[in-house]
Order: sequence, then structure tokens, then C-alpha cells
Amino acid sequence: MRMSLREARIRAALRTVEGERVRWLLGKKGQLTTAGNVFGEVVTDARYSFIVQKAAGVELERNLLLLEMEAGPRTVHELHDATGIAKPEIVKHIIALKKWRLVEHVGMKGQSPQYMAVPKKGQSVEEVN
Amino acid sequence: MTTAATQPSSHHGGNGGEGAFEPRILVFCCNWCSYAGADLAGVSRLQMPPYFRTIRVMCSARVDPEFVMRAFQKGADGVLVAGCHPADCHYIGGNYRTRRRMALMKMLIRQFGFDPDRLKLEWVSAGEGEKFQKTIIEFTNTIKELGPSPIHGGGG
Repeated sequence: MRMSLREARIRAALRTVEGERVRWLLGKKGQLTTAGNVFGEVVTDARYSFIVQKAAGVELERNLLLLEMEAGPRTVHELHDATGIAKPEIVKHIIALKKWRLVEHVGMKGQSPQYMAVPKKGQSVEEVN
Repeated sequence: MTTAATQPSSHHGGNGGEGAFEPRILVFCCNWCSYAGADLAGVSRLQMPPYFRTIRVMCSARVDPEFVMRAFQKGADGVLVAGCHPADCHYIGGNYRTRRRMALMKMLIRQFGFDPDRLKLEWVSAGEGEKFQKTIIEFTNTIKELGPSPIHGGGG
């Protein structure tokens, strides 16, 4: 069953705030803006906000793509039609997701490669609510 | 997490028409201050709109960003987090963490397509029943102005 883009966006947003990247950033604000990172580099509040927003935006798009690819194999073209994300961005996200072994190349549709999400261990493909 | 639905006033104020928008508001109250404040508002019979449900948490810092997003996903139109006043936190600095986290969450929910005004943080102490009432009324009015959340087909 295909979910609407609105529902998919909200699910992706939920996954984003559950995700390690955004949670880590949210939890480290005090440290990053006062004591600094491991190199002693202190991040300004404005810079920190920019980093969090950028990370959240990227994670949101990746989760949106992952949700789509959990439903079945998708080409970049199909992902673009379903999510509205620009194709060059989708390709960048897929490269990153492949690196983290979250998606895999499963075949070809015409001349376009198809990608599908790799189910996590102990997790069914169906979204657990 | 202990949950308890407070009994808002029996007065169904303000929104009587058939099909009128009745917002669903979730209120996270810290056990030591805000929940007692909500209780005081209840026993003082202060009139409040009946559109909110309360979840008691041990500290406002227990409210994870995930809880907020899940509330929106499950259909809440607004989320209010109520905690102890700064420097009054039972756990010393929990509310400072909450303040920082909620500021960031407002930024994030805007990015996710929700109006940041749908999330509010307020300090309510155990003796501030009237402030709790005022906060609920104001927040309910804000949510009514904003309309249904995007999950119900609203604008943002």
C-alpha cells in the first residue's frame, strides 16, 4: 500500500529525529558551542543552527527515499516522481546510503538501475508503528 | 513514563458548532511542578478548553524530540511542554536541557512542514494553577488559529 507524500514526510521526519545523526547533534549543543569539538574548535550558535538544519534536511530526504525503497525496487526516475527530490540529489543520497549498506542495487529496469532498501536485522520491511 | 489524563473542566467552551475545528493538544507536564500546577488548576475549578490531554513525565527533559514528532504523527495539532521554572528543576538542570532542545525542535518541525507555533515550552510551577489555565487557553487559541495539523490536511 502506497502512502501519501504527506504521510511519508511525517514518517521520514519521525525517523530523522529518532536517527543517530540528528540526536547526536541535538545532544551536543552545549559542548560544541562552549567547550568545542575534539580539536578544541568552538562552533558559534549560528553555525550550529546551520549544521543542525542541514543535517536534518539531508536526513529527511534520505529517510523519504528509504521509505520509498522499502516498498520495492525503485529507479532514480521513480524516486524523483514519488518524492519530488531533484535527481542529482537522489543520486548523491543513494551513493551515501549504499556506502552505509542501507540500500542495494537489485537489478535494471531498461537502462536504469533499481535500488531497494536493505531490511535491518530483526526488522520486517513493513513499517512498525 | 506515567500517563494520566487530567480532567479538564466540564465547561465545553467556545467551539460549539457542528464540524468546528476541535484541536487535539498534548501537554507534557513535569511531575514536580507543572503536573502539580495542572492539578491545582483542576481542584481550583479553573475553566479550561477541553481539548488537551496531559502526560506526566518525571522531568521536562524526559520529553524526547521523538515524543514530539510521534505526537504529531499520531494526530496531535499542538504539543505543549511544561516544566519547572529555570533554577527550580528537581534534577538541577533538566529544564535547561529542555529549553535548548525545544528551541532546536521548533527549528526542525518548521523544516518538517509544521508551524513552529505548534510546539510550545512553558514554565509552570506547582503554585501556578492560574498560569497553567492561561497557558492552555492561549495555546488552544493559537492552535485554533493555525488550524488542523498537516497530518489532517492542514496547511502547516
